[in-house]
Amino acid sequence: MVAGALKKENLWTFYKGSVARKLCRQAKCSLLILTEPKMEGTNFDTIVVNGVDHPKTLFSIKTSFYFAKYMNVNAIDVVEEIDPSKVKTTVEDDDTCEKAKAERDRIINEERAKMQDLLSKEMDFQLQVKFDCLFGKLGYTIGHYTEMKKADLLVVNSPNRKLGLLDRVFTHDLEYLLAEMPTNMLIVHSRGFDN
Amino acid sequence: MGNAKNKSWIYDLIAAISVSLVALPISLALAKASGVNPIAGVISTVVGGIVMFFLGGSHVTITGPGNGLVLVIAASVGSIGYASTLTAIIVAGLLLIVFGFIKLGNLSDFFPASSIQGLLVAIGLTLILKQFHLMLGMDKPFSSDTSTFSIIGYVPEMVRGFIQAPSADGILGVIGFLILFFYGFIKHKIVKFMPAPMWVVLIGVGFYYYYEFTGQEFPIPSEKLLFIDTSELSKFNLPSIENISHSDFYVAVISITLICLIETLLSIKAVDKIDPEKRKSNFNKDLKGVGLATMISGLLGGLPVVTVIARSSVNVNQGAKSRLAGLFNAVFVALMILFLSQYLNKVPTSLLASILVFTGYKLAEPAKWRMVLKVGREQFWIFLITVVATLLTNLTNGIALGILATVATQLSITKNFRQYVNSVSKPNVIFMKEDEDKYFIGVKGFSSFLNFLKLKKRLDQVPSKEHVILDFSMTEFVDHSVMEHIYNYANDYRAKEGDFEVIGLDVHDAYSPHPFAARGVKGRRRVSSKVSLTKRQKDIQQFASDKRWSFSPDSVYHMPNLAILPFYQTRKLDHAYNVVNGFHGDVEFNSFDVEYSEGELLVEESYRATMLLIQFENRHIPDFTLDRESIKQRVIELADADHVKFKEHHDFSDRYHLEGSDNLDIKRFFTDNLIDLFERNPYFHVESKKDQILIIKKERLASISEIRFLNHFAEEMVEIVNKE
Repeated sequence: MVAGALKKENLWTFYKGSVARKLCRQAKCSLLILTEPKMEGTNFDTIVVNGVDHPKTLFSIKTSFYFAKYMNVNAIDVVEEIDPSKVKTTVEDDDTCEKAKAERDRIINEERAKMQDLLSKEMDFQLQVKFDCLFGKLGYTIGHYTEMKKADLLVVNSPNRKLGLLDRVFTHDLEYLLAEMPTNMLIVHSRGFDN
Repeated sequence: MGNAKNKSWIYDLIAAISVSLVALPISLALAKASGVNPIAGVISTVVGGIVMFFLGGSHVTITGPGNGLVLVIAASVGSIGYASTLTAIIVAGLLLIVFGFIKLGNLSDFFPASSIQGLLVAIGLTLILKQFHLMLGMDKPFSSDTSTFSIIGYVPEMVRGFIQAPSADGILGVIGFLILFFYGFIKHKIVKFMPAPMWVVLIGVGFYYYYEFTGQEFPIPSEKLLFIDTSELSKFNLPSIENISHSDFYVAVISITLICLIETLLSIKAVDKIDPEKRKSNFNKDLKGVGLATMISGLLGGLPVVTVIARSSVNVNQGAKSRLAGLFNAVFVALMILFLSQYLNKVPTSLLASILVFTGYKLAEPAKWRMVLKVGREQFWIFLITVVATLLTNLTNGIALGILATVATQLSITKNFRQYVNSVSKPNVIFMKEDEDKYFIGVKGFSSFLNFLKLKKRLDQVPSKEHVILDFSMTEFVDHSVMEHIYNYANDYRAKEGDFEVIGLDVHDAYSPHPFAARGVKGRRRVSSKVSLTKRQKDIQQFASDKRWSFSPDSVYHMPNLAILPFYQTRKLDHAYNVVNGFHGDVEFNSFDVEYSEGELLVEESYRATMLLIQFENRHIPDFTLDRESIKQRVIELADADHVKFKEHHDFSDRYHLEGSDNLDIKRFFTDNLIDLFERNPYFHVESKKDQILIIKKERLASISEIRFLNHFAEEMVEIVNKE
């Protein structure tokens, strides 16, 4: 299905929802959102994929590889967002700062190893893949990262449940992305995970 | 220097002597000004010193009664009485402990920089206005409920009254003020033997005994003398709960807590900046310590305990190394009060008032106003609103209005209400590790004091000896408070030899040429300064062109190389100007005038001096400091002989004190020829760090001939060093 939507939105439609927004939040299939559709088709140079620690992620990454294969993509950044509260030490002075750093490094290394393991299984063609760990609010940081890298597509998992009005007021995860629309987005709906 | 570590108590002991000489008079004066028994200030100092030694989270800070508290304690004593004020102090202490546990130690970074500046100036003005008549030895010409602001109207009357009929204690008060004022300009050894506040106290004591000795009648009535009742120490001044339901009680609790919090946190931050070892204090732990000390002090009838900047800076400048200095200070102050109170009781209160008026002057001096004005006109309005609101009502209102004014100003600059609100409620920072030990922190949207804590949380995650890239390219507006914080972070990294790069600010326009000025993408103007040169500047320009070197009179605020030198570890580097830059062979020469300061507030002294920095490109220079041999150093050497001596060069070893990290390397560097050069020439202070050498002739601006001489000396030195 191809649906068009106006870019213009005011506060009311943002919270109540337009058809397009409703699709983003509740569709039971994968969804490609083009922020600036062009007649000649969009060029996808770099892709950012979420690498969150979740079973759905594998499917999203697979999809992005599949997408990359057919769309002439140069580089894929797999980005894992990590909640900073996973680092248990609170920084208060030099000692705790060093301790927090060690803890953080351990988390990064673990995640990197895990992801490399996963990626090596899925890669079947030549592609530049980079892995980064972001610390910050989940959902927000990946959008910021995508915008910063000027990536052309952001591939994310579909929400784990239906998103309602409350999610818009107390923004989290996907809602940050839907509110800001940093670039074109592909929301991957994994089979086998029913909403 | 493993050896030095064991002997660090010597340094602490020496430092504590100077600190206690400042702490005693100011504790008495602050308590007196708060309208309570002078001993209450001493209790605060002693309890603070002891408790913080065991529980403190900072290293070289000094605690005791604070300047800002005079306002709130005096108001509270006036409305609910001293006994209930003590209860309020205990509750405030408890709240501070709670703040420590819920980790509010970074709260001071939340307040907008200009309104904090306004708050400090307002405290200064209040001290001046409320103590002025006491300094002049007069009775209060205004009633107790007069707002601080309206006392301004009484000042001409007070001055007129003093000139028409000066009283003996009034004259002493003015003399005291003049001593404090001019102390910073005099560099004589005997004068510097004691800190200025102690001189003031001594003059009072001397005055009394002069009259007793000559048998004349003492011209100052005894009720105008300080009255310390040591018998008070034995009986507890019990806190009372009678006024606990009164609304003024809660006003007192809130304002005491707020002022303790702000004064303590700001002071710790300021002291961390001048700590030569650049240790980072644990703010939360310190808050808990200060809270507990405040509770105990309140129970014993004393004033709240806060970290104080003036006394701490004396501590640092006198070479303190650890918390032990605070403990020694407490002991010395206690001993002085126990054994010297009969002499202290001869000091007229006008002299104590002069110490506070001078403290107030240092807090509110014109330079502070000019600084804010330089940062930007909009900052000046925020500052002014805070000052006036504080003087008209009270501190809490002043701060609240300052915050409102800041928000209003930023809204009017950015003209984007929705995004402004979003910038507060939504995240705007990402943090990632790019390579090994290299971090990237990105900020988006509006970066202001309201959301700075989010950015700070990430910034604090990285040890300052590493490499951070802070990217502002996705921001549309960065406010003055954030710029100032960032500047401080950069200094911190520089001191620890880390790397702190700020990128993406070149797309913004600054609202003034000052480095702390707010920046926006849609800036209003870029300011360029064009000034005519003075005679001296023209001479320096001539000197530069003779050597085919470059000359620039403009101020440079960013001096990464200079800041890492030992000389600037305990001094605040402000800016350099009149920079002459060029090469002698492959060695880069930079001579410049520099403005820097030592100490804070009461003990602040600012300097302008001419220095020469030479940078070696292809040669290793060991880190060393070559200084004049002083009495203090000889005392320390007795305990800790960790410096380099040349047996065969007596003259050199007698005149100079040489120390550094690698003695062997230094001995190899100081060849006979080099030592000969030093023996032939007058005294120079020379130090090196990271293959660059800083040469200072005197701590003042040099004349053009002295600049030539300085450069000539350095060229000779470079030739000797390069020959080896």
